Amino acid sequence: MRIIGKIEIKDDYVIKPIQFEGVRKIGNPEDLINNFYNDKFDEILIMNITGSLYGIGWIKDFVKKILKKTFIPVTIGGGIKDVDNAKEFFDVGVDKIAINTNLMNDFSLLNKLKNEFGSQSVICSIQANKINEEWFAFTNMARENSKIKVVDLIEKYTKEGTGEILITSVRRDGTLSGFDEDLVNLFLQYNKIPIIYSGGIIMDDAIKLKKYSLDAITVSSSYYYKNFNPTEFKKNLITHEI
Amino acid sequence: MKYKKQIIDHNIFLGDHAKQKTKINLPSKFQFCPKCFLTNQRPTTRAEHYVKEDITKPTMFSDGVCEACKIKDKKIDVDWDKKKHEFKKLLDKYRSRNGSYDCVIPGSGGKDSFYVAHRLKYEYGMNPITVTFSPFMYTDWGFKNLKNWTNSGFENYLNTPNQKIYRLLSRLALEKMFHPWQPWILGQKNYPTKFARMIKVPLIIYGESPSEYGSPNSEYTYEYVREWHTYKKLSDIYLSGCSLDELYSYGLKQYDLHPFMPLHEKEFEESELNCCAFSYFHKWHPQENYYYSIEHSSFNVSPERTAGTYSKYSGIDDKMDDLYFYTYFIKYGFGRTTADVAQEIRNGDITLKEGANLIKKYDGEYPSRFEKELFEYFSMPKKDFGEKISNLFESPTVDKEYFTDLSDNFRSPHLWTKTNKGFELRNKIEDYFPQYFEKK
Amino acid sequence: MIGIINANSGNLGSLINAFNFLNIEIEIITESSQISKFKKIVLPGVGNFVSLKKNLVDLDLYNGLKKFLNNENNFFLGICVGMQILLTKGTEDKETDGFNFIKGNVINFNDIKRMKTPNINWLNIQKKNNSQIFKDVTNTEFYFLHSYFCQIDDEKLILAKANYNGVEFPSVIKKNNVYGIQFHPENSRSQGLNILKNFSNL
Repeated sequence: MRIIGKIEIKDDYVIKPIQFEGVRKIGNPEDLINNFYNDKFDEILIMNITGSLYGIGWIKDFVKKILKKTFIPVTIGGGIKDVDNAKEFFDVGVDKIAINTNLMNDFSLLNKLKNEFGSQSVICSIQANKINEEWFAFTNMARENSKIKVVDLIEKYTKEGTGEILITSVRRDGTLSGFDEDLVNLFLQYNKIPIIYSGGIIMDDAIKLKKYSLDAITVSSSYYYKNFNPTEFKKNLITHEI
Repeated sequence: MKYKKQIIDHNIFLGDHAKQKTKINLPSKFQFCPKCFLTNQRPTTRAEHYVKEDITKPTMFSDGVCEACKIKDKKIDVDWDKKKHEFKKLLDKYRSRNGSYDCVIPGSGGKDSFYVAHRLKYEYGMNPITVTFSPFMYTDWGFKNLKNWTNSGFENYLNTPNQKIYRLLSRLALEKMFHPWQPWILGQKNYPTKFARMIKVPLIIYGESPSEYGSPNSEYTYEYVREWHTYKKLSDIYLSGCSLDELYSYGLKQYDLHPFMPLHEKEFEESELNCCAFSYFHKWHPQENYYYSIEHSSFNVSPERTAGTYSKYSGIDDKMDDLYFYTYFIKYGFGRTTADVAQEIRNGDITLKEGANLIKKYDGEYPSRFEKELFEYFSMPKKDFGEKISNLFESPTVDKEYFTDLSDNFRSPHLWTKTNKGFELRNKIEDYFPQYFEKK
Repeated sequence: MIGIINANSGNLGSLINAFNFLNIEIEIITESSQISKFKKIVLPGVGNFVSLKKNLVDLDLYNGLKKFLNNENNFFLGICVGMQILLTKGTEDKETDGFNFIKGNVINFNDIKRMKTPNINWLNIQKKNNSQIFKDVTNTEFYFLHSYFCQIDDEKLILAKANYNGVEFPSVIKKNNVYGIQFHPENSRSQGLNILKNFSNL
């Protein structure tokens, strides 16, 4: 299981929303990413979480700086709208791009990115919220209900082909309340493409997660506030693994 | 019938000369505050039960900057420790010594009232009782947050007004002032004081004071407060812009209007009521109230943003919220996004560039999501309201066409122009502040 | 001085950052005339066998590289698809000829058995010998990202293997001075950087 350190940025700061709301500043992106790297996270995910919502593009100097010394895969997401936009990031050493809102507004973006950069460089991101017993995909920092069911979207992305799918539980994100078992059960039946789970992960989840075989998870709040340690976590997972 | 369909001639919006005509006493010269984007086309908070017509004293700009920003700058020098100490002293005066209630917290269980009640109980050791004046139409998540409040250790009194009266008052306010929200404000201001008097708990603690939004009175003085929550003469009272006599002539009775009525100032004095705002004594940061609420309970944001803004933590209880902000947009040329942005900029949460882009993107958004329910709410069919009330209106039914025609009556030509694309604001943020927008 | 092929099919940025960090001089190769300047060339590649081949041909780099490979004095490092294209044939999308420098075919994990692809994992490699390329590499966990792998006829060319879902495949191969690496050293922390450093010191 890959453990991905996630930071959410807005402007020059790292912020930590809860349930995708609130933009409380918590630190400096360079410092936090250095910490993730030194503490042996497998990958980094940098989300310009307000990118689509504010409609302001980004390519920050700190991204370039970080990439010069962070030798694990780095994924960038948030408001990426076209091939040129993506190229700016790949050129400086980003490995993967995550897309959601702009993809939902125009599905042809997936093929355009795949054709230019290869399918393994694209992550289709889903912000999942449960409304009246059904899981729906949201956009714009989880503010707009696309009215498309999460399962339909997973099938669609699987059929089209993409590197990975990132699924975030909006109601768990930032809450330090553990992973969303309901959501995980929903997507585990789709086993064709690697799926990254995001939202609410804490150290104690290692015990519960033993019976699931997740490909990858993201960790954010748990690292900032609760001493999440990837090496420890993996140890606790393994004491059961198939 | 009293309330005819109002269809306005759109020619009044054409051309430059239209720029001079203003409605409801708004200043003819338009100004944006360069520090937070609020405009000078904005009414200040007022005692709603005195509002006969929708004409108010607009916000003051001095040195080109709005009052709220001026106050904010002043507050940088505030000694918050001293204020906290003042607050403790105030609380000590009312603190219960026998386990009884000692303060009333009006609110909805939203982030602000949760925060206030929680701190008062768990940090300041008070015994709060919470009181809620019901929204017009609860959203699922709004009602869940009310439950969250009680689940977190608070007793709550929820007043749900007679819906027929609530609806009628809202419709009347819509017709007369394009202010369908007013009955809720009346209840929110006037019910807690009556409640406090009734249960003999004189200390009432609101969350936010009007100065947070830039009212001319930056001090929440006792005199000012009393004026807000009381009346002197019954003939001064106007609910939904209608005098009490007028309302009685429609068949309404005194008890129908009770939840919306203020106390008489003598009653207020007699009960020695004391209204204050938590934000007067503590640095008030709405976003932090949100974090506090969700970190200390099962508070939930709305799953979608409120129409007309980008926020999920603000204005989420009532389906009418969407429409409220839209009426603001029609009348004053700015909507909830501007108000939210202004507050978040002042609190350092977002930058001017981010705010400007948000305003351009969301301000004035038409409230589609609950449109059908809202129009039904405003409609006064005979079978539900009887002939007397229903016949007050040329069109008891409100539909999109009716609503659109009505709203155009409240647009001020100095703010709005008509083009082949429809109504457009004369003063657009991207024209005043092009530096914040990316060149296409 | 190491030449890095830019065939519009790779994540050059990462690799450039890695070499810069190691203070190893590099130059980007975009034209065939540049090839003869170098004794050491790296061919990065993510994506697609077919598009890498096509790009190399379109950019007129293909033949120059083929010659480069056949000169035993030259050092070559192919990464990921850059490694796969050394083989006889790729089967992604349609059958495509590779350099045929190393005999074998590139096939999909699903051709062996049904499984989730791509393989995106940090995997341990099992070294088959102690080549110079592994000098100072104590941590053998590397980052893999691929759906296809090499089936090589000559076992002796395999320096290290890895295992994904029970399928064993070559992770490092070598013939003469031509190396192929299936994982991404530029994304594999200090152990990956060591691989790159070792290559540059060969």
